[in-house]
Amino acid sequence: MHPLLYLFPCSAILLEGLLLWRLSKHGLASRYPHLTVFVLYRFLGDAILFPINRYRPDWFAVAYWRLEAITLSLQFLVNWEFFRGAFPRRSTLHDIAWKMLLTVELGAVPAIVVLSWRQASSMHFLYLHFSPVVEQYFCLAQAILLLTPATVAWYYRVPLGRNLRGLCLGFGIYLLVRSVNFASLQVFRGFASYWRLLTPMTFIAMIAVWLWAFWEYAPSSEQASLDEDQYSQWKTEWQHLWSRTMALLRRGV
Amino acid sequence: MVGIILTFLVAVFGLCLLFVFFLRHDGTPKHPNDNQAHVPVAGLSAAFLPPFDIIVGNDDYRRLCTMPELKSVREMFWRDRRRIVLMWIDELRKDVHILWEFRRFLVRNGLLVTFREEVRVIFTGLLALLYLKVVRAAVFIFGPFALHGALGNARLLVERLSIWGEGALARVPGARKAEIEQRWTQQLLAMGTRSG
Repeated sequence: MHPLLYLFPCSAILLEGLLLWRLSKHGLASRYPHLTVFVLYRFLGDAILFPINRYRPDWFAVAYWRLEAITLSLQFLVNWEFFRGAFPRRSTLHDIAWKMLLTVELGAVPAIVVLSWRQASSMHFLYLHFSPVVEQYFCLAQAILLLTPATVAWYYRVPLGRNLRGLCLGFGIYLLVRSVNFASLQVFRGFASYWRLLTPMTFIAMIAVWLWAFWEYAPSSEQASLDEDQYSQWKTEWQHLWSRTMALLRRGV
Repeated sequence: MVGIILTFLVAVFGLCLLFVFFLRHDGTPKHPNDNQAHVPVAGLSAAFLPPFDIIVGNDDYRRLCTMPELKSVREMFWRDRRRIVLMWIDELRKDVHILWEFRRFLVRNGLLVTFREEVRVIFTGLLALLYLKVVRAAVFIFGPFALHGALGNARLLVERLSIWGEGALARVPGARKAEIEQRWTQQLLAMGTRSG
């Protein structure tokens, strides 16, 4: 492999490591657990792929696409993270966003299934391990899943805060560009060499945006008030426990 | 091929949306000065409309038409009246925006609404805005007296939104009404709609 091509895996691992470090600060990991799981998985996956690529390149394609298939499923966790972050409480807005999501998906999913079925049947698999059609439409469906609650939040002017805005922007661009990337692979001849560069570049760009967004805890005002409520609830519970313990101790003495 | 074209279209549209979301103001209204805080609840536009027939009625114009010696006055009257009707349509359009914003504000602050109601409001709001655009263009081309019925319909659409806004406000629990009114006033001031 050309030494320059090591730049992508190295920078991906470095940025993922940095992001995990930032997520471990200020309790971000506990506030955004689904995102943390996704980043951790990608970090471990990339860390495993790196030595495989170096020492057993013949295993690389199989390992890469198996991990990629799991990544594709884990991306739903990021979708869910955005939804629960934007609409944290059970409220009218939460219900409207949920119904909107269901309505859009009820329309979009059958269309996507039909389109992908027809496309898959008319195209040969471009490589042995994974169908680009599945990748293309999975990313498209996840992008729609992300854009729907984002649109509802935008329509009702729900403040998102830097964390969620960055999450939405980075993930949204990544999904849409990836979807276009895989679609282009099937249409344009000679796109494969660009595709090889664009795929890791979009991922690294997403991690870079997330790193900016999650550098510090900057939630929406609603999330912040929820945190305060939770904190005061914990405080009350702790005080109750403490007074009970003291009472028991006094009784014991 | 259809799928690939659709993928490209959705991607372009989605990227545009993402940038709009990212660049927008984050929805947290600025807090105005305390001495600005006493502004009545706005957005219920019908109360602010002057009598409809005075604006779009053509009795004066017809009287002027009977006097050929006042042709230049008649033309000036026509132009001025057109300007007034166009301004009135612009005010209606602002009302639609404020009423829509008011509705969203109420929902954001916990007003109980159904999904169907929201879809109906969005549909009516969009229809009203589109209708006002068309009527504005028609008034500009055909003059202020040619579209009496269409202007009446435009007003009715805005009034319908206004009634829904009032209905929604009436559903706010009494204990929260004062707080909601104050926050709405703050938001209006932050939006700059009542600064004049």
